[in-house]
Amino acid sequence: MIIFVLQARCIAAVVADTQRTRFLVGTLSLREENEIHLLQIGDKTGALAFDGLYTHPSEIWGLSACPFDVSILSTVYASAGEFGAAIWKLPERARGAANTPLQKLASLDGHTQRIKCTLWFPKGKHHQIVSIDAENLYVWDLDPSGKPAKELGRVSSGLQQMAGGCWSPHDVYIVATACGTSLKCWDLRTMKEASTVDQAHAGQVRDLDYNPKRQHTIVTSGDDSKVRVWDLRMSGMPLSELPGHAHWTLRVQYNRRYEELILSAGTDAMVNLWYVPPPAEGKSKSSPKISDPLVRSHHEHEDSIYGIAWSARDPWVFASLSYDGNVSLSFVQSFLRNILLSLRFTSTTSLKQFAKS
Amino acid sequence: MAEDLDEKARRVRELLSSFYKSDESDSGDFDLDAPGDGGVSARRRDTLLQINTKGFEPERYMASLVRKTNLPTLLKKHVEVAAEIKNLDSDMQMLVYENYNKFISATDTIKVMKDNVAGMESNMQQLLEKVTAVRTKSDNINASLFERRGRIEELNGTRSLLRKVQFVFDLPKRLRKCLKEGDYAQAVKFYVGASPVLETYGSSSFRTCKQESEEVIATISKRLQAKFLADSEPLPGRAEAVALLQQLKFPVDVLMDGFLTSNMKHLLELQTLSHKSKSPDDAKKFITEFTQTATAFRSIFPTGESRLNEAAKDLLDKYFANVNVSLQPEAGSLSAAELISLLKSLSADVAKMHEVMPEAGFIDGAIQAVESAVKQHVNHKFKVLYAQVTGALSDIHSPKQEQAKDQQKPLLLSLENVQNLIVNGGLEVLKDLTQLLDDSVDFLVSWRDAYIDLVQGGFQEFFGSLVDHFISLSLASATQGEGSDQRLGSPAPGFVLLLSRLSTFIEQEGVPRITEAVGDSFIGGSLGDRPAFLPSEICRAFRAAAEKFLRQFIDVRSRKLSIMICKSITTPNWLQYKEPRDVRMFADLLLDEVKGMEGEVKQVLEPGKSHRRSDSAGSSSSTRSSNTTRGDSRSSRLNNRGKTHLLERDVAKLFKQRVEIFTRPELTQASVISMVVKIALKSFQEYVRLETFSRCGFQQIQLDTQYLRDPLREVVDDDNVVDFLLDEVCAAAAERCTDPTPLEQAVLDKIVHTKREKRLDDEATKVFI
Repeated sequence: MIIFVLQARCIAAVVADTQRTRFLVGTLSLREENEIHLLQIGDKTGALAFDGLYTHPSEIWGLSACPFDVSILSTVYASAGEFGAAIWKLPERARGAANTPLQKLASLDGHTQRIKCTLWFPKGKHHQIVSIDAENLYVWDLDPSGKPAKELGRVSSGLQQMAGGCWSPHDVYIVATACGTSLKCWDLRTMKEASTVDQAHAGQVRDLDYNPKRQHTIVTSGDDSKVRVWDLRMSGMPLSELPGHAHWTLRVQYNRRYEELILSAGTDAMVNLWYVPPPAEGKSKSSPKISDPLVRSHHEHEDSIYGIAWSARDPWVFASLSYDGNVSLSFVQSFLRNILLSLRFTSTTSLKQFAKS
Repeated sequence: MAEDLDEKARRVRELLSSFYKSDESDSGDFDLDAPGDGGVSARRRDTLLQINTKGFEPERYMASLVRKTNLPTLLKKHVEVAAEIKNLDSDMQMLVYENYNKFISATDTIKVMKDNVAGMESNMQQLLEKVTAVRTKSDNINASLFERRGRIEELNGTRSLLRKVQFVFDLPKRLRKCLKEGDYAQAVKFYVGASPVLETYGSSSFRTCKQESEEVIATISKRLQAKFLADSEPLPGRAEAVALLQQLKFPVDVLMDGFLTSNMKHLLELQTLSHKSKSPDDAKKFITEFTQTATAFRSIFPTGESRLNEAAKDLLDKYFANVNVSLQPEAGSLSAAELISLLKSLSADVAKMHEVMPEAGFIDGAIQAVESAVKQHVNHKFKVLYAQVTGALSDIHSPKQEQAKDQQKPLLLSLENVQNLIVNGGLEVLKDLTQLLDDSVDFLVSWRDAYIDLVQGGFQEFFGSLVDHFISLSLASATQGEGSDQRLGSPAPGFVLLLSRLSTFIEQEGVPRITEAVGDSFIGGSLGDRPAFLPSEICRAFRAAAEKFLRQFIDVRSRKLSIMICKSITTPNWLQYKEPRDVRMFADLLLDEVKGMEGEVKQVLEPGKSHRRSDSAGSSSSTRSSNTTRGDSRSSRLNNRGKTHLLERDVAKLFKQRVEIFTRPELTQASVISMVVKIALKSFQEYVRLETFSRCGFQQIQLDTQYLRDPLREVVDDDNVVDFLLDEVCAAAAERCTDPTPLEQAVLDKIVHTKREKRLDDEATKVFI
């Protein structure tokens, strides 16, 4: 299930497409022409296959798919001193043509530093987008008619280098960012800091993701290789800490439907799937305790992994992308699916029982 | 002849019994289930044997006999049967005769009885008449005497009353006489006898009499009290006095109290004195005094045992309070030997006291006191040991390390110090406590198991709290390391490494040795469900802790290196980099840092194997996977336009040595250092991948890695790893380079060579200075 592309850092699920499991992969090549690959799980084969190939002018350092339009995406790019971020539209595929260039809708100009990522508005069709560079966070308004994007505001993080961010799916005015060794949330109305977790990691915080079900829960990963789950209201101690990876943990992502599942990937070429039971409310100690939260380590890759993505359609499928351009498709094991499904009905069942059966 | 008769009788009996028995069995024949003779059919088959039963059928018998037997046998049978018949006839006759005789004698007896009873009738009649006459007369007499009897009884009563009155009137006189003669017992007896009368009529007719006698009695009572109080008086006399006083209803309790308080006071004084002076003589004196007092009291107040017990208990409490004070000195620890001597004297004392007063519960009290004393002793020992160890650790940890730095190998010294402290200290404590067990003071015997549990539990707790202490120390040092500025050579990582080594030492040597020692002398115990000392549990805790500390050390150290590398990569503008002329500063700093770490590691850890192939595939993640998946998956590649260089790289990788990067660290010098270096180099690669280089930038990286190569190879256990990782760094830089033209090997070598020379010179001068 491995498909070779050029060297690549980013993969994103096509979130708007709920019919098929599709992923976008952006390549990173200094000397070759860069491409956006559209991958799709074949209906019959169940394996990944190429569905489209579009050329992109420069190296792709970041990629995110528009949540409401299948054909729109945003990239963060850089090449030899230049950098930028832009919104693109996948053109209609012309038969026979191998490579079709992307159609640029808008570009987010004005950044003075290398851009780290772009974030789409998390709820519904809305033309706001956030872009983050090492020092600043910009909020843009996209004009659908094709005019250049309008800057709505910006926040400076000061001395701490920002590495990534996540727009809260619960409160659309909050964006969380990885700021140096800490985690900072910004209020887009006041353009001020809303909450902070200082020293979230011993090194640079690399990635973070909002719990899809709980408003104040965020998972972070960092250069100290750990994965930590935080409650923003209690920033002193993490809710839980996972050992993470042998080297940096670069990516961490909640499963959209099952908050117990956390996917992480790191420079040790591993993809780890964690099972973290949510903190039990009311009865504090009745939740099933598992000795090892690591459900599975995927060893398919040979190089550092910079991209992971859960499928937008099937909650049991995820793809991972390593630097050498290998995309691997994996599935959540069936025993875990059974547990999660049964937990939806009976909340207090021990994982071990299921693991045995 | 007699034998003959006997024989006959027996036979008759047999015959009869067989007859009746067969009769019974016949009746049972109807029960088909009954085992035994087996029903009619069975009998038919054995007709020849059925001659002696009731159901005997002569015709069938004869028929079968005639049919089955030949003539001689038949004849023989005939003779037999004839003889038997004869025998039976005579027997029957005999039987009849015997019974007839008995019957006749019985008839005679009955006849005689009949005659006798007929004569008795008249005699009985006579007797009845006489008895009736006697009764009438007696009634008459009774009636005539009745009137006088009442009168006599009255007179009798008056007489006795008069006698009593006489006695009461005489009482004062008698009492005085007794007083004169000193016969107090008699006096008391008189008084007590008269006292009911005096009490009833004392207010009226016998007033004077009562007054007088009371006066005398008061004197007597006073004299008795004096007698009781006089110590010189012999004990029986005093006891008698008390008995008399008691009869006089004098409150004896007051006397008892007085006696006890005075004596106990005296005893207490003696006792405190003895405890202060701690001389055995005083203690002995106390014991003898106590014994005397108890005996005296007992003979004087035979009924006051309970009071004595109470008082003794009171005394005892105070006594044990004193004992406890002497057993648990506030300052300084008591050695086991001292404790033993104290306990022994206590044991002897208490035994004596117990002989005197078994009910007072001396033994219980003593056992309690000893228990608490021993418990405290044990706890104290462990506390002291714990304090020593933690003290030694905090000495290393605390800012005093400035002094320690002057020494050549501060970590090594402190490591040995603490190791010795734990093992020897532990063994010493154990030795000390064993003494207590060996000398088996009487009281200890009864709760030996509990004592063993106590000691084992002490060790368990000691090690448990030690682990906790270690962990808290490591956390503290970790936060210190992060919170304050991360100075180079900050003591925290080394200290953490020390803790790791120490934990391993405890796990592998300390605990087994202690366990062995404990096993030698403290076997048994375990009053609870499980033994109080669980070496395996402790070992597990320490192993986990050691691993944790090691990880922490590696994390902290590699993070420091990574930060240096990060700065060196992110600061320059690589796209406008100038031609590299020299290796950059950071490389030297990096090597210095590695060297510093090496110094720490070498002090604390053992060398371990050097230059080995890492083969622990299970716990590692490899950077390369098998060739087959690679080959298969390549076919699925759709777009192979212009990707030759990638392919080349892949192929090149294929032929390279497969290298494991992230192995599980062991607690050896090489393993730990390589782990740190590996993580740092991996970070190097990752940082490089985030940049874009110009040709010169790439060459600079090439130069830096080339310079780092040899020194790093020296410290790492597997050369290949360093080579592999540095090559990866170079490859990453080449990939991220717009024009990856490497430096010429000659230039590279030259620059690296000069730089290295310079560094050696610098180091030489440093040492020189």
